[in-house]
Amino acid sequence: MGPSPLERVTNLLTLLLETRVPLTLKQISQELAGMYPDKYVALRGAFERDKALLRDIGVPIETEVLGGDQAGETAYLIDRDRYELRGLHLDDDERHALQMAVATIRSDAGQEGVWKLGGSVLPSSSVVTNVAQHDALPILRAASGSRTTVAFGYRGTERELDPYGLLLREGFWYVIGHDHRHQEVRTYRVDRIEGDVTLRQGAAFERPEGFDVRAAFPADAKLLGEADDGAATAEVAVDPPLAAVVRGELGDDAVVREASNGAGAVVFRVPCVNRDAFRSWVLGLGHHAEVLGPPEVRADLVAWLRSISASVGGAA
Amino acid sequence: MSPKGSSPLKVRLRRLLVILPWLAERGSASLAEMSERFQISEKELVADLEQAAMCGLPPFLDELVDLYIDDDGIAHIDVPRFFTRPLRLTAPEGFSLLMAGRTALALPGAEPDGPLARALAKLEAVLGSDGMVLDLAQPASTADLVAAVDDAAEVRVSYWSASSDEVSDRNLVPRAVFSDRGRWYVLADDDRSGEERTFRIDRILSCERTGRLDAVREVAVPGGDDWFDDLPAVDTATLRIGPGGRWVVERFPVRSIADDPAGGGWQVVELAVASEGWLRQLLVRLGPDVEVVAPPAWRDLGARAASELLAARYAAD
Repeated sequence: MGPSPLERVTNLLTLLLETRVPLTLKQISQELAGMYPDKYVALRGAFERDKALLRDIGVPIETEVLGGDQAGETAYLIDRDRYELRGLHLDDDERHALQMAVATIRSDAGQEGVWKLGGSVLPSSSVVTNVAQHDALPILRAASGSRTTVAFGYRGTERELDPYGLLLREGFWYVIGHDHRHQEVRTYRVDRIEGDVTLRQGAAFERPEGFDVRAAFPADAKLLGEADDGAATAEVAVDPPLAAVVRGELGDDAVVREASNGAGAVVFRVPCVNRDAFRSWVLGLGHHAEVLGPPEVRADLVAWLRSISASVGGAA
Repeated sequence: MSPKGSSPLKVRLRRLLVILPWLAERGSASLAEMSERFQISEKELVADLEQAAMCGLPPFLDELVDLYIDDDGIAHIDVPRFFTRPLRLTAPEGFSLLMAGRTALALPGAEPDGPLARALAKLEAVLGSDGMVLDLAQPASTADLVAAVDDAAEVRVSYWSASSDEVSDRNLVPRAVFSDRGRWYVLADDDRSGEERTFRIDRILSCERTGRLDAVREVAVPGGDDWFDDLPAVDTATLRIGPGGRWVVERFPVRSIADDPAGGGWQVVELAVASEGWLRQLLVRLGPDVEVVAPPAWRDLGARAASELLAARYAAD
């Protein structure tokens, strides 16, 4: 009976960590004599599966295309500096605090991270946050942390961005940074990124001293990475009792005036840079709320409602 | 996490790469402790450690791991230098840890200079400071409700329900506070319905303790797929939902979902519906990204709702 799959992949990992020069598949199969199939196609298949498994759990396998008498052959090794987690010494109470934190967001990846750091998994806590997850977030965070330029598709155009930071606001994730083409700071909604985010390896940037994504979040809609032009805030009249709800949400500063008719309606100034989120918010208040202006924001909402009301019969 | 019993290769390898550095740091540990910490049966643990001990790469290294398990169930181990440190964090793990930590730091009652803040500073030093900010503004009553959960203290609230469009006074015993997509909710025992219900905290107009304390009770907090509204689901609607309406599938309880044969990224979804009023509001918010397939009586519900809102509020436009 041959070696177990765990034994084989562990040996492969050890070999690639031990070697000082990149090894070709042929050399690997010789070093791990008897562990891989003899026939080339089966050998390649088994090796690719092991390699994918190692990468999947975070092992950084480097590849290099050789020259000289091995010209064109691919060789592999693992850079130990990149393989190991170094310089992170958490005290027990710090590790425990992270465990508690992961329990409040219920993330599988977070639990695996805690586990790697030597903590066990805790049951969930009495406060829980379900935060929207997107595939692009980890790579955007890593790029922001390592100051690496990224590229991605957005509204049908390829963008290059130096990601200064990420912002979670009202349930939406935004990435904010220096846009190469526009040569200014732009904000993109992460859930609207099209396809994969790629790293521009070797393209590094400096984040401006004291940069704060909150402060940088555009009050001007034109600086959102979309074509939406127009107002940054709208005036919305809200009837009681929802006026109290909205006042609690937006704060007293958002109150423009109390309506004069004595019915208790209150006019609020509401951010509408993210027009989808704004419309959804207003419509969530049903007939208790009315967009007063500016005119184009009101017209936008009316056009939205007309297109729905015009679909009578059409959809049926 | 890792299931008990036989596990796939990936889980076993990852676990081994966690256990070895942990064990290397200590030199020895009891099987019982490791079994609990790493959520693995003792039998499986011994099998994996023995497998590791069989690995080796002559001539570099005769055996990977020098292992001896004594009669008291203590594993003694000598781990070669490759496996004395934990594997670096993957991008998703790093993201999740930082996000979780920063989220927790923004919650009511967090200590800004406590162990969590220190752990985050250390993590940032390793993973790179990334300028990530979580804006988790909480409605005014949130902290009081979190405290009420901890004490199982009954509160009297005045609450506006969107589903029924009315304000009601009710007594709640809060069981858990959670946020989902930027909104905060409290899951509570509700005296009005006699059931466990979920309430949006920003729609609680007033909140005061009654003085009555209940027994603390653990509850399951809803995940993204669960129903959380102040009314139970009473009906089902079949909707065609376009690409712009994907959030509905993530946000509300879906009884079935299938790709629409017509393509274009549309999906056919059976959705649990709390009330007609709730569905009206949803249809108006989704606009061109939704079409009611069934029941027939609701096919023009969105159009009717939009017309009524236009007439009530925007008649002169």
